[in-house]
Amino acid sequence: MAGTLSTHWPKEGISDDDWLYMRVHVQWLLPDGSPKPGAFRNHPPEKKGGLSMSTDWSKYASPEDARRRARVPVENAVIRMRVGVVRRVPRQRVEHSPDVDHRAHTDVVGPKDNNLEARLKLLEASDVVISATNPL
Amino acid sequence: MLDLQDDWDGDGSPGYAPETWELACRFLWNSARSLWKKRHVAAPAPAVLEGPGGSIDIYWKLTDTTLLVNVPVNVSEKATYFLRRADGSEIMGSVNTSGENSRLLRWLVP
Repeated sequence: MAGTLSTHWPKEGISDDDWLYMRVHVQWLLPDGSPKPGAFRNHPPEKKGGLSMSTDWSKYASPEDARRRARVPVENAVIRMRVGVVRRVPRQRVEHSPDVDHRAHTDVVGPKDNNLEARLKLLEASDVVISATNPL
Repeated sequence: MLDLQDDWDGDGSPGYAPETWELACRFLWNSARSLWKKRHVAAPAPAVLEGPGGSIDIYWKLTDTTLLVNVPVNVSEKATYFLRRADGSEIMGSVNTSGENSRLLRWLVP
């Protein structure tokens, strides 16, 4: 009987020089295509007590991969942030948290909703690598 | 913003309550009016934006100063703010959303 093989990926250390990719829904973008401060929030709410923001580690994902994981990819842009810069944002840490089907998955853990300093500094650390107007 | 339904971004974000919107507008209006009364200067126009979890962000990005104010869903809570100047100085804290208060806007005008 054939079974389904699943791989539990090991957690790895992430270099400061690597990138994190994050998709941003078009509604979280300003008219110039840059993210609104609210785009830097903890999501999904059920993970790590609502204290983590899901991203993709550049070692195992491309910006296109990050966009494809959206429910409606064409409604999303993709931004990138340098890991070392994210680590310097107060009360935030970067933690590789691979899922069975998503080895690149990485959390930026720490309060954000009421931590306006973190949200603005993450915004400043980001730049858009795929705009929401790009075709798939 | 008020037309956005729960899960409008595909990542579980909730919609926005009229009460939160009204509180944000009233706070902004009262602050600008207070600034005008005290200094006779007009407040720079902010962007009023979707914030996390149904809260509302009020965002000023000026040449030398960035100010972000977050109006919470719970109207009894204070709004929080973070200000950053081009020289690297930063101010953060919280402020009552009721009544007139021009303190934040005074930081934005010469």
